[in-house]
Amino acid sequence: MKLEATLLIGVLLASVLAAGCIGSSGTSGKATPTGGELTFKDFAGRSVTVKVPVQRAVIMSTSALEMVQLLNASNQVVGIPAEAKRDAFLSQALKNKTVVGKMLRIDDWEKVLALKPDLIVNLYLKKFYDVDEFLNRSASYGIPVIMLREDKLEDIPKAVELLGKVFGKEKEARAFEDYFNEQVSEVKAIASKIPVEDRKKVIMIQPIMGKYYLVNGNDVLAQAVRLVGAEYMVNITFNGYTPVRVPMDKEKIIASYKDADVIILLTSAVTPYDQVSELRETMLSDQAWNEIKAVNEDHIVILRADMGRESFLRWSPRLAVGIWQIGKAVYPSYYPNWESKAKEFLQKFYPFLS
Amino acid sequence: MKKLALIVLPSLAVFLGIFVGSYPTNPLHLTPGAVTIIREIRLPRTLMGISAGIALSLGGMTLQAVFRNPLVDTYILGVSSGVALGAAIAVAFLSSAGVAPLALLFGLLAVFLAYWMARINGRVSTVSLILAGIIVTALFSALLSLLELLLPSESLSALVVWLMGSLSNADWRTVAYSLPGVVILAFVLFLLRWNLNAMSLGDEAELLGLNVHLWRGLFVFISALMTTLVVSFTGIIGWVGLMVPHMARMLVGPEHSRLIPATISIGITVMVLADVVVRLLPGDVPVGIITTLVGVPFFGYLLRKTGGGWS
Repeated sequence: MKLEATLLIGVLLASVLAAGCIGSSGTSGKATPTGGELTFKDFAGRSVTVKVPVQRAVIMSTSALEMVQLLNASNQVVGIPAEAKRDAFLSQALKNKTVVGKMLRIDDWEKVLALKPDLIVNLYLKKFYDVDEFLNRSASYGIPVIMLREDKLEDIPKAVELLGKVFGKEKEARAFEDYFNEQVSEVKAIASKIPVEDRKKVIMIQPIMGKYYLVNGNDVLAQAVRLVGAEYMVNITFNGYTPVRVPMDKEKIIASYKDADVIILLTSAVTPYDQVSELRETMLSDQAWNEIKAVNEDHIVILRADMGRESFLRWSPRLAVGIWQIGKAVYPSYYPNWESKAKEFLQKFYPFLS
Repeated sequence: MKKLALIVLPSLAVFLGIFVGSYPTNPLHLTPGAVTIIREIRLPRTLMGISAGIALSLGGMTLQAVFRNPLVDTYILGVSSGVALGAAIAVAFLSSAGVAPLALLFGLLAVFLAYWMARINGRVSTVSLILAGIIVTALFSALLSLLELLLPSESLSALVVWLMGSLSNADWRTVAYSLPGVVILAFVLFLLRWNLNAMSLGDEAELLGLNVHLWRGLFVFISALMTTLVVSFTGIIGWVGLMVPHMARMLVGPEHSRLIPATISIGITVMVLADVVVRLLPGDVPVGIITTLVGVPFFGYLLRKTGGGWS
């Protein structure tokens, strides 16, 4: 009995020691900052100091990863989120980096520490994860964090500019900023020529698992609709909270948006193009849906907002093409075909895709 | 008086189901648009509410009689975890197949698995069946959690919302799929009401010449089929199967020739009214949230009153 107890305690002690000693083995190599320190305000208004250029970044958002890739700084990334594996706009080299978490959350901090990161980039989205806990944890490990926000169109070039400074790629960042701002200016110029009486009323619906999710007015896609010269109809707030997607039943959509001139149906990771296309046909033949002007006049357009290569409607550099897609969808006679814009954009910034 | 109430209440609920919503539909002055909205949206939605009310309530009532336990419903046999797993598989790997067929398949699979596991030496005891249901629920829930790790964030959020249960995406196709089957099974249950009465005596039913194990299996299958015919389309609508049979039993007593119609009546009333409440709320609130908000305090009250035993 005594021997058994001694053995049991021995096994337990060995387990505890093993748990303390064995851990994830990260990629070896030291961060070699050659420049100085950079202090700036991130998109959450926090003051952040980073040794630049960053050499070993963990990036938790796929849009930020696309930006870093566009800056030609992929080799300065060591950790990625699981979603990156499905992002068709990311190179295989980036997808092969260590996965450290999912949906903005880090699953295993030990794995992150083993990568010896000198920076973490994440999104400031308090509804999705515990941002304060995340920041406290990073601070306790001495890892600076840059928080980005996916709220506005103009934040895209600003985020690229900030990441360009941090990763030591200012020249590449400037090239993208110039390109993006040029696209926005061109779209604005076309929008200004659209007479007020031709101004269209637009709603965007993302169907997922038989439910209809309306894109709300605070989403960057709604901002893009306004940019191309149209009125975006959906602006819903619940007790001061404004979600970017609002689930709404068919009757409420029909009752609230009867006057919509254009309906944009969006694909998603869950609802592929063919299913959205089926829904479009159903809507056109359904008498209740025909109560909406856009359906009755056959102004339903499908645009891709999934993880595929033809999707440009995400808060990311790709929106430089997305604004042209939306322009063409809403005002086909005013805007040129977006395909040539997409080709030019991909050749410039995503050469491995073209 | 009770009989009148059991006729008037569901009729009133159906009337509200047809005429209440965000689109203006004045019953005294129906515009062509209002007629279209009623025909294409509210009528199928209300009929799906009727189907859900009948199926979930009778499913719970049947199992409570068969197991002689007032605190069980079809979900205890693993139906909900099976339906959830089927839906998740559809979202993750087979989006072209659609959610409903796989949800139906896995809902029934869960019950068959529980029944097979509980069958020892050709006999299925109440305790072993409930335990097997718990095992299957745990297994399917673990598999669901594993799948959730693989799903992208959009799919995961959509799955969570779908699982909360809703009647908002009901249309004539879903009604045609669900309601006739549910009505036929309800009629079969009514025809078998004497056997159900005997089964509620427990193993003593054998003294009346019933093959208890055969009938228990048949009633479990009918309950599971009814429930999955609804929840594979609507998602999990909780607590109706627990709450409604008790309300009916309080009104008309445990005898099934009266209990079955009363359960149907109250089931329709509760389900359609819950959906009417949802329509008056902003957005697309899952009806399962409303039934849970009503069902949980009721069940708590019931548990304290009965101590979990059969009265």
